[in-house]
Amino acid sequence: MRVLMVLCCAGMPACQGIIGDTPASLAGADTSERPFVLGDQHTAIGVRRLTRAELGATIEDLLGVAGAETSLPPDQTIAFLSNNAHGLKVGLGDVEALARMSEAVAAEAVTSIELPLGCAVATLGADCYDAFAADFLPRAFRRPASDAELERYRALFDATRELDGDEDALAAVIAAVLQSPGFLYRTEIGDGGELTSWEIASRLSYLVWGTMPDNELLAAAAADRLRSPDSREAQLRRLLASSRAQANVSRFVLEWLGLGDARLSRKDPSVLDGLPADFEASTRAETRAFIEDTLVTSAGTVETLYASTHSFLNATLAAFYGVPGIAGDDLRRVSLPSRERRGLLTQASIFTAHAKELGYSVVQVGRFVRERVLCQELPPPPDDADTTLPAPPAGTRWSYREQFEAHAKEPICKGCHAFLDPPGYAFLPYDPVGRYRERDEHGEPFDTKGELIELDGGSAPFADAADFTTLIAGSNAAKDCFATMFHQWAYGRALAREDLDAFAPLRDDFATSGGQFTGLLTALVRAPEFTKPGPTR
Amino acid sequence: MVSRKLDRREILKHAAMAALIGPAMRATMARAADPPVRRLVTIFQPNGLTYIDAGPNGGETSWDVGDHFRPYERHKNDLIAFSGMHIGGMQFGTYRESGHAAGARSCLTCMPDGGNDFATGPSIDQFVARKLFEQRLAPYVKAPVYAVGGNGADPANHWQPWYESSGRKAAITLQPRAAFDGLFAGFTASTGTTIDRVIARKKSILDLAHADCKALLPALPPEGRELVDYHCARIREVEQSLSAVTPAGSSCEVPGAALEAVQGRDVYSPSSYPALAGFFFKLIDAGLRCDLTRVAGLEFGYAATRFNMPWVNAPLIGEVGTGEYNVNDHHSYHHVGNREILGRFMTWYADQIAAFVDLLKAPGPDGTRLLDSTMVHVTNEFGGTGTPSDHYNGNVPMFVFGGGGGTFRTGRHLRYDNDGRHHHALMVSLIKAMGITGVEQFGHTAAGSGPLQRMY
Repeated sequence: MRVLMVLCCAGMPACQGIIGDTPASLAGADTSERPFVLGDQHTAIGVRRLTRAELGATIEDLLGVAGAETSLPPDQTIAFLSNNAHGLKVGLGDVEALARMSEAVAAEAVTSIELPLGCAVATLGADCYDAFAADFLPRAFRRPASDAELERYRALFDATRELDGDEDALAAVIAAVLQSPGFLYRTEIGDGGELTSWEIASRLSYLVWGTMPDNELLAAAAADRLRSPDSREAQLRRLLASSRAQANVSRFVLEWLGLGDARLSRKDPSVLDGLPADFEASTRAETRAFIEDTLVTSAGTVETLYASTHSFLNATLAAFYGVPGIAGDDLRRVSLPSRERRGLLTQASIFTAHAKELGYSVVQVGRFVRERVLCQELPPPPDDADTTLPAPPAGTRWSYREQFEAHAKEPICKGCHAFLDPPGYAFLPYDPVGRYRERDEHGEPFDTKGELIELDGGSAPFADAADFTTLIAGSNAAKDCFATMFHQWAYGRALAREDLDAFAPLRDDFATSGGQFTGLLTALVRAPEFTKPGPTR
Repeated sequence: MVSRKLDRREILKHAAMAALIGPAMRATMARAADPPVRRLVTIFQPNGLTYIDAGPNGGETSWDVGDHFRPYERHKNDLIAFSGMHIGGMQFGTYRESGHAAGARSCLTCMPDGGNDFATGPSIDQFVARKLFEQRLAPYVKAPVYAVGGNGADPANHWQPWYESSGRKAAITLQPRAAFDGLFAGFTASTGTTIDRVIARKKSILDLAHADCKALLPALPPEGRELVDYHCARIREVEQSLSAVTPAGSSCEVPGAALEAVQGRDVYSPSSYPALAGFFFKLIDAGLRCDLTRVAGLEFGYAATRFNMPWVNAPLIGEVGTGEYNVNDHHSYHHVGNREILGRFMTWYADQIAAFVDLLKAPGPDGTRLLDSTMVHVTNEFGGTGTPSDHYNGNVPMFVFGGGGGTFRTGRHLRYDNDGRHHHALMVSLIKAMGITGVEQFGHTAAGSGPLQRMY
């Protein structure tokens, strides 16, 4: 994403170079010119390296060893997502980390692995090895293993066994498989313009579960039963019934909204005062539970995601949000009576991630809403940024908002700040951890009203955060943004013009439905494009 | 199948063992490298200088390190300080804003963006590590980068200066355990069997991965082939590097105790930053002494990190009209401007770096100092014009500690005139001082060629 971090540099005054009422990049914006149509990252390149999270889940399914991915470097994100295939180039540090991880996993796996035919690790022998490999390699590669592959691994087994014995030989084979591109990448190459049935099975499984296909899906692939939209939809329904589907959807939302690597420990100690030890874990759990319930379990909509009047709270969160009568550590579905809390954008985890360590975060919150929630591009700051702000007249005290507004009145600042600041004003009462405050440090009530411009081609007034989130929930922009981001997530690349054309009806249907997620997912999986490799350069 | 967590205690046990078996293992190893060994460390600190006269100033031989770099005073004779340097490379980009992003992308790569927020070439450390290997000056390709602080986020997903290649950031390690393993895990693998056997097996495994990698290529479209072929080449590099792990300087010590001292610390909490900086610098020092790497990097935060330092006791900014309010982090002060308080932030980084140089200056058993074969390059993402909150990528305070084995005349201050070409030339000088031949140009080709003559 071209302007990923532009505004945080300024702490506030980022778009000074935009003269007039509307940032140049937004004036007359044509939806086909969205920032997500990126020249270099929209092509299908035939391979998609498993992300760190996908590697962890796949290794757990394959070998029963959990947490292997924690030792790997983070993935290089593109447009907020970790699974853009163009960003998943395996570098030197990755090869080294994968080697260490694979050896550790293999050493662990051979102590517990279940072998076919009553074979034992310590006395494996050639026949038992062959039986193991005939099962293990195809599962690891998510497709049949070639004779050449089987021979290569057999040669490694034999050579290691001769020197170091059966157990080490088996560990060497497992470690080699985990470092093999056959395991690390899923291919989407196809044959004659159509993906192979194995490739379709992996595309479906990683999309819905974030891990390798299970036996039933592999069997369907083996029988080439994934070509018809109905058969894919039937598999999708089966996969959606599992809690793995929920977890994978929340992974998408957390990455897209930048909630994944947020840490409370970065905040100033003064704002952490009085928070119980389980606060951070509870806020993460709340957001995950809310996303998973809304989008998958309840088959709900993006409108509900942003405007819901309920959430999932335990005693810690209930105390924090001021909801009486909730005890215990377990989350439960709770109605939120107050206007202070409406939907995802008012949950504490949002502020952990996007508010500063201390103080106010008008621009940070504005940028979060514009870039992530609405998929709008922010222009970069100019070369000659002069960010000196006007001082108040002598003897006058300005509130934080008044200070911003004085700055935003200047012609050079006007366009960007009118675009960026109002969403931040709506959330002024929320402190850096998401605590709601009635009054500012001067004892004055917060002025949270504003005008949300550049929304669905118009603008709308709001009085406070509840109003604001209702506007977001009702907008086409928010649904379109969700659909666009999910579309990129599904295909592991930015979108090409032909994607936007092909998926226009699907996005329209999604908006009409209020943004019903499982409907979008079903339409994606049924679409003819789902069995095709995608556009190449 | 029962799911099992990798046992961290088990791994820690190995670390302790490493401290024991390290020396024994090394005794069996041959010495490597006939040409003089040269080492390079790159260090990045976030935000800018703002007050130009708080950085290096004065003449070439009669000069001052500047208020904000006072801890460097004790190393004055071992460094060259630069003023009036402009970040190279960025002026050739398509996304030409001045500031954090451009400075971060270009301050170690001297390359512009590719229109998509990624630099279009490798940073000097990664470039040097690969060249050392290609020219048989080092028996391995190794260039780890570590990070301290990141405002609770992973630096990998923000503007960072280190690139392995065009569009590919270098892996940055935040976690002490992973950083330690990246250098010293090889030492632990020899329990129960000989080191030769262990290396041979690792090589066979990587060789098989390489064969699988090559077998995948023909079916792929060109872009995919390029991406996977890059992976194949890295597998080969790691394999060849492994076969040559034959380290040992006389002062090599596995920093197991340093690791244990920071194990379990929250790497995202500012209260951990001082301890983590100490650990990573100790790790780099040990990695260099044990000759497990010739190149390393350390990042404080990432570009534009607010970088909270509760221990410098910066008061909350409450002045109306400053653009910042009720905050007290480094980035915000950079916008607001306060020479004295910005000095507290800047001096903290300088303190950590100066302490690292102290480590490099500690003589080994044979009386030599690591610093005499090591160059440490320090940069920010921008400098300043004297106006708070500007984001000018000129007047960047840069420092090179160590004379590259007598190559450079240290103890001087070199002033330039904010022509980005000097930055490219500085990089060429460092590359040449590493013993690398045939490189006359670094970064964008339009910036000219040749070293920075005044360094010699």
